[in-house]
Amino acid sequence: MTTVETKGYFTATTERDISTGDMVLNIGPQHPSTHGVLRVVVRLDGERVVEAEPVLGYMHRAFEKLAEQRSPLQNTALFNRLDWISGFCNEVPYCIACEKLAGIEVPKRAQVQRVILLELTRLASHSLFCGVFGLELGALTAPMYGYRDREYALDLLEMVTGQRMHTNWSRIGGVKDDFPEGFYERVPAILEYYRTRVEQWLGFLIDNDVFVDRTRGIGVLPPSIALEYGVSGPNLRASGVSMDVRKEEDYLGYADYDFEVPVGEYGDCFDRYVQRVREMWESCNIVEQALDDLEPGPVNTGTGRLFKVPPGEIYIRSEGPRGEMGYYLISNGGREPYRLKIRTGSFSNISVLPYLLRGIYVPDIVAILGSLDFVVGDVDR
Amino acid sequence: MPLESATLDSVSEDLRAALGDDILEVTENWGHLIVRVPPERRPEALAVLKAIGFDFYSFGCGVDWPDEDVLEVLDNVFSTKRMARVTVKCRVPRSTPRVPTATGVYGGADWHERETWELFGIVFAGHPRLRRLLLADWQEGFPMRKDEVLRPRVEKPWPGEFFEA
Repeated sequence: MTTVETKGYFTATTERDISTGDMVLNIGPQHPSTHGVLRVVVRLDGERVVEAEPVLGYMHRAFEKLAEQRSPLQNTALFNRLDWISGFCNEVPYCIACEKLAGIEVPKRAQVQRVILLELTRLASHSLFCGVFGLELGALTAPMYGYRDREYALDLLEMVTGQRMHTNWSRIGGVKDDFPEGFYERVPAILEYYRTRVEQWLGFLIDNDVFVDRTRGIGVLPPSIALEYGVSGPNLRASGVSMDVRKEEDYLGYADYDFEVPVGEYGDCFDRYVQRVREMWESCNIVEQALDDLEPGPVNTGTGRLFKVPPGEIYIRSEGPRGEMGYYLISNGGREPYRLKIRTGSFSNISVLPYLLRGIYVPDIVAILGSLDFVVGDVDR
Repeated sequence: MPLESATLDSVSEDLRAALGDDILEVTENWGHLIVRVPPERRPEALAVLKAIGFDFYSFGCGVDWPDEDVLEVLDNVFSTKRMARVTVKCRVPRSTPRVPTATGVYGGADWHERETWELFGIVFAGHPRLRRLLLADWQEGFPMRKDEVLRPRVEKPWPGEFFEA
């Protein structure tokens, strides 16, 4: 029995004790047009998060099971749907895995074309992030610019592949076809546009006091925790770990290109934002060099649809816009993989959320979620 | 920078020194090391790897081998200092699939183990919260095991087979 004083108007008594216990707040599941359907259950003490638990599975499509019934050509079409913002980055590592097991030498021209398309996809993905991250913080103008910028890279992808996002362009042994006429003439202007945009993105939000206040020092991810949880890509590099698959692995001839791997300093939301803006600049550098690198020649080895992957097991990873994108392929000699583990960047990146969200204020939840740049299709697979 | 075999040799030496007879087999596979350990020594093997510089927990997963009647647990770790990758494998019988958890060693193993548990039915003993991660509560069986067939493919075979003739 508790008596509640109500400023002298009347006295109320209640049956229960009124205590300031923890409150459970359910965030999401959100509409698919955002990052996808992620739900986070947080336990709050006043305005502070005591405990946070992401709830996954709203977009689980059993890709690993489906892949066991599909040939490589069908699988690349499937894997576009993993991380739909950067579809081309998902199909290439799977093709590389099959090629390595089969001992197929990919023609140089195909490799360079893959690099160009990969980096254009990365430009599109990071442009979108720069805009949408503003939206998460309440800056409603930023996403307009983000969506607009992304379309320039997607236009180029559409010109080559016929599709903006689900390109399905990579084949075992190369790419489907050569670049169309008029492609090379269009690229330099678009790269120049992206370079001016990088400068504007840096000024646009970083000169904004509100943006800095809401991101500086929020969601600090120490490098040791990031590594232990398998956080990779821009999120890891923002924490100061210089780990980039393009530099570490010998794939697609990335070693021939001169580019830097920028790293952050504090690993907070602000650094993760700046990290992606800086990586857009490096992507422009890579595309420029790759365009000069295009030698005449074939773009695929003409591997047909009845191609069988020789037995063996291999792990191939690549640098996607969301971190380390890898396939652990176990083949028993058939067309379909015996077992295919899809290691996606987003899954590991948001597994660190319970750590990051502990002890922060409620409005910062959205800032941290946005700064990790995950796609739920990539998380749930 | 491609991985050099010299680093892999030094890694396998370190592993043998720390684990001794617990290592059943070490093989090199496409520039990575595959280390087979008994299931009950999985956390120790991963702890040794973490101590010798394997700081990045890449992924963990399961593989079903119905012909040999075993389920396999894979843990893939990477060292950012030595630029080397190791896959730790342990095999458990399909009737009693049970391995100790590695969440105490790598925090990142948490979700990967929950996923492997619900998809393959491999129990990770000592896991702090072995709950459903991706699947719905009403889902029955372990969908990634080989005896769980993909229902639409049974109802109607893939028409692409037609071209094989």
